[in-house]
Amino acid sequence: MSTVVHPTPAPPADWRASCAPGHGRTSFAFLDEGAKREIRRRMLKAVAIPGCQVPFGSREMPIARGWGTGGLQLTLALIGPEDVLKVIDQGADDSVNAVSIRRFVTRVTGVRTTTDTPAATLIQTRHRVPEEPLRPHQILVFQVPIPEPLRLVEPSEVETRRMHAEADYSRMWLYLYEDIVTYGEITIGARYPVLVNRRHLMDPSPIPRWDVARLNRNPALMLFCAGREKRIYALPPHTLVEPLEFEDFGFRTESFAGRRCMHCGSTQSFLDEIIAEAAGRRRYACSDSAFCQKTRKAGGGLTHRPADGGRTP
Amino acid sequence: MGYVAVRGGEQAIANAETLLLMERAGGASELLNPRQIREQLYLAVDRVMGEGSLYAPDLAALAFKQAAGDTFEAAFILRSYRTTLPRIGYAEPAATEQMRIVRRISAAFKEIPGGQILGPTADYTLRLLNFDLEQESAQGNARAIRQLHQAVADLEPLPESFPKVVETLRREGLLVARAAPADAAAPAFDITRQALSFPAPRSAQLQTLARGETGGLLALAYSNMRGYGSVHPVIGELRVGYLPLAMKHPVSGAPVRVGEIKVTEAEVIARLDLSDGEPRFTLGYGVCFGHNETKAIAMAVLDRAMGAAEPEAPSEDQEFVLTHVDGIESMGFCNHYKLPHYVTFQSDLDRLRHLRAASPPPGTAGGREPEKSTS
Amino acid sequence: MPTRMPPSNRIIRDQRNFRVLLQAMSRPGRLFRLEALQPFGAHAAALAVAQCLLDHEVGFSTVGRESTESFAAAVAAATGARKAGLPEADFVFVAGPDGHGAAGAARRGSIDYPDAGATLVYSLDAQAARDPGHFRIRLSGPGIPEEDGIAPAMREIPAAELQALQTANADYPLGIDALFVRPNGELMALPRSTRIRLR
Repeated sequence: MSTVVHPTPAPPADWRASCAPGHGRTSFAFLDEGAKREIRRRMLKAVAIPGCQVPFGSREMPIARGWGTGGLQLTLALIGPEDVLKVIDQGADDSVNAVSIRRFVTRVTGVRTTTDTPAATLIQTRHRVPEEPLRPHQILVFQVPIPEPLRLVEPSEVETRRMHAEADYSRMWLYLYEDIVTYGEITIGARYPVLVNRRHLMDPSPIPRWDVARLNRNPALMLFCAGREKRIYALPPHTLVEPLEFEDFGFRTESFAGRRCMHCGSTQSFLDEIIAEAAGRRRYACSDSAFCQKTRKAGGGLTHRPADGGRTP
Repeated sequence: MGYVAVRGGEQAIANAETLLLMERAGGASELLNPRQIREQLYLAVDRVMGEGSLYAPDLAALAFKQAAGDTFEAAFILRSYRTTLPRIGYAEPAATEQMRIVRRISAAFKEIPGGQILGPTADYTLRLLNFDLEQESAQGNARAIRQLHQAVADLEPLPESFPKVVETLRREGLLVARAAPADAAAPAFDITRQALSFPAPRSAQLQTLARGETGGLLALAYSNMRGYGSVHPVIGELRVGYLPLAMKHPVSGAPVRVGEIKVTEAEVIARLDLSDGEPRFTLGYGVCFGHNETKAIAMAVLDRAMGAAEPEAPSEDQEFVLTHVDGIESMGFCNHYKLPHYVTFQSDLDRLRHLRAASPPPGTAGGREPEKSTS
Repeated sequence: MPTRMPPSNRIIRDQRNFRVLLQAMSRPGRLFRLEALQPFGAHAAALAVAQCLLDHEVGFSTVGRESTESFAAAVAAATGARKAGLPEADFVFVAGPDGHGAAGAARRGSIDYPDAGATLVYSLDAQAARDPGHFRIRLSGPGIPEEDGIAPAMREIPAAELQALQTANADYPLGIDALFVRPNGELMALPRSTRIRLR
C-alpha cells in the first residue's frame, strides 16, 4: 500500500513566543475561525470541480478591494506556523504591493518568508507564475481581479452562469473568430481564456500568455480567488488546461526573440520592457526578480524547461 | 525605473506613511479632536457609519480623521475593523413607528396624523457662504439655541411614536399588500457571510443598498428619476430619528432594549401596479444609518425600480444595481489600476507589435475559416 | 495595525487537518493522514473532519447502523452544526464502507451552482477486509498524473459503493464529493471530477 507523507517541516522555534498576546485584538491569521472554515469549505469544492467558480462570503480586509483581498483571504485560511511564504507582484518580491501583503501576513501569523521559489510552501502571486518549476507540495495562490472569462462577451452574471452550466462557450469562440477576421490575429494579451478538464472555461487571472502553458498539468495545486467578486476556483495538480485556439490560428506566447535580460542575460524568462532614457531606448529585465538573482549567482547558467512549452517557433 | 524594479519597497511604504501624516497633521493649526468631528461634522460621520456598515459614531469620527476627510477611505477603514469583530447575535425586528422623531415630513399629504415636523434641515436655508462662521462665537450660538428653547417652552413634548403615513393608504387598500417573505421563519440573508446570487432575496437587496455608497446610489436613482426608468416617486414619508433596538435575552428569551440608533427612513409611493387585478400604488423603501436623506430617498427609489418585472433601464436591473453600488468595492477596484500592470501591458504590447509587423492590412485575413482545435 | 495572538492547539490542528484534506482532494485515490480526535474511537477521524469544516452555517446528516445517534450528538456539540435531512445536508457522515444509498440521495448541486453538492464522509472500519472487486477499479482525472489511471489506495471500499458514486457523478459537474477515513486518521478523497472505471 502506498503511503503518502504530508510534508510538515518543523516550525521556527520561536513562533509561539513571537505571537505574544496584548499586541492587538486580532486572532491568528487575522480572519476569525468561522470565516476560515467557510473559505476552507469553498476551497475544497473548488478543487473538486476544477475551473468552476465557487461563490464565498468574501470578508473586508485591511487592504483595498482589487489589491489582492481574494488571494490574501485564501493565504490566511491556508497558512500555518510551518509554512514558508513567498509573495510576488508582477513576478517581483519587492514590489510595493507584495511587500505590503507580506508584511501584513507575517504580522498576523509570524511565519517565515522567502524569495526563493523552491523554498516556499505557499506562494501568493499577482499576474505571474514563477519561472522556476513548482513542486508537488507547493501551493500557488493567485490574486484575481475578474474571475469570469465570459465577462469579455457578456456582462450579466445570470447569463454567464447559464453559459457555464450548459458549457456553451460559443460566444467566446465567436469573439476570437471575429478578432481574427478584424485583425488577422487573436489580440488577447494577458488573461487568455483556458478550458479546464475539457469542461469549464476559466480566467487564468491576468498572467501573460507566456505563463499559460505552465498551468497545464502542473504538479502543484493552484488556487484562485477574487475578493471583490467573491469567487474561488482551483486547478488541482496534473489538470488538463488548454488555451482556446483554432487549428489554423494557434495560441502564441509573447515573443522576446533576440532580447535578453540586462541583469542576468537570460533569454528564457518573461522580460519587462524598460524605457531606459529620455531618448526612449528600450532595455529588458526579468519580470521574476528571484529567478533573475539566482541566474546571476549561477553565472547565467540556471536552466529550466521552456516556459512556452515549445509553442513559439 | 518603476516602483517594482526599485529595491527597498518597505522603506518607501514607511516613508509614504510619514508623508501622509505630514500632509494631514503637519500644518500650524490645532490638531482635530475626534469628538469635534463626531459633533460638528456629524453628517460625514453618519455617512461613514452607513457605508462602513458599523454603527459606531466615535470610531467613524476617528476613521474620518485618519482618512483626512475622505469618506470612501474612512468607510473602508471602519469596514475592515468590522471584519475583526465577533457577532454576538441579531437584533429583533424594529418597528420604525417607535422611532424617537427629530424630523418627519410627507410630500404626499399636507396634513398627516401626528403632523409634519421640519426638524433640523438645510432644505429651506439660502446656500450663501456664511462668513460669520470664520469667527464663530460659542456665546452667540448658545444664545440662539437658548432663544429657540424659550420660544418653544410651552409646546407639548413630541409623542413617543408616530403612525406611518403610508398605513393610511394601506388601510384604504390603495397600496399593494406587503409581500410575505418566502420563508418568514428563515433568517435574513446576510450579505457579509454569503455571496450574492441573482435574483437576490429582498433582504439581501436592502442590505446591499443600505451600505451602498451615497453618490453611487444617487447616480443610479437619478438616472431613473430623469427617465431611464419609470418610478415617478412621491415621498410618502421621510423620517429621521432614534430607533430603539432590542435583543432576545439569552436566558429568558424576552426582548430587552439594548439601545437606539439614529436612522433615516424613506417611503416613496410609486407607479401603479395591477398585479392583483385592482390598480394600486406600489412602495419603495429606504433606510440607512444616521442622518442621510439623499441616500434614504435614492435607496427607496432603487428598491422600487428593481421590482420591475422586465428591466428596461440600468436602475431596474437588480444585478446591475447591486453589483455597482458598494463604495469600498468600486473605489478599491478603481484605484487598483494604480498598481503596476507591467506584465499585462507587455503582453498587450506584444500583440500590437505583432499585428503591426504582420504585412496584410487589417481586415484582409477574413477569407479563411478558422477551425476549433479544442472543443 | 493588528498584530497576532498565539493560536490555540485547536486552531493549529484545524489548520493542519485542512491542509491534509486539501492535499487529499487534490490527489484523489491516494492516502493521507489526519490528526484524529481522541478519544472518539471509531469516529475519531470523522470527528476531526467535522471539527475542521463544520459550524452553525452547515447542515449535516448521518447514515448507517451503529452509534450514529451518539455520533450526531458529538458532531453537533463539537461544531454547532445543525442536523438536516439527507437531501438537504451539506455534509453526510456515513458509518461503514456501505453507503446505504446515501450517494444516490445526497444533494448534487444545481446546474448554476454545482458546488452546492454534498460532501460524504465515510468512516471505515479498522478491521474491514479488502473488497474482492478492488483490483478492477481505475481512477483517473484531475490530480492523477498516470495516463492509465491508478487503483484506490483504500482497498476495503466495496466496488458497488464506488459504482454508486460514479452514478451520482454521471452528470458532472453536478455531483457529490467523497472522503474516506479510517479510525487512525488515514484519509482518501474521491472528488466528483475523478472518473471511476470498472474493468
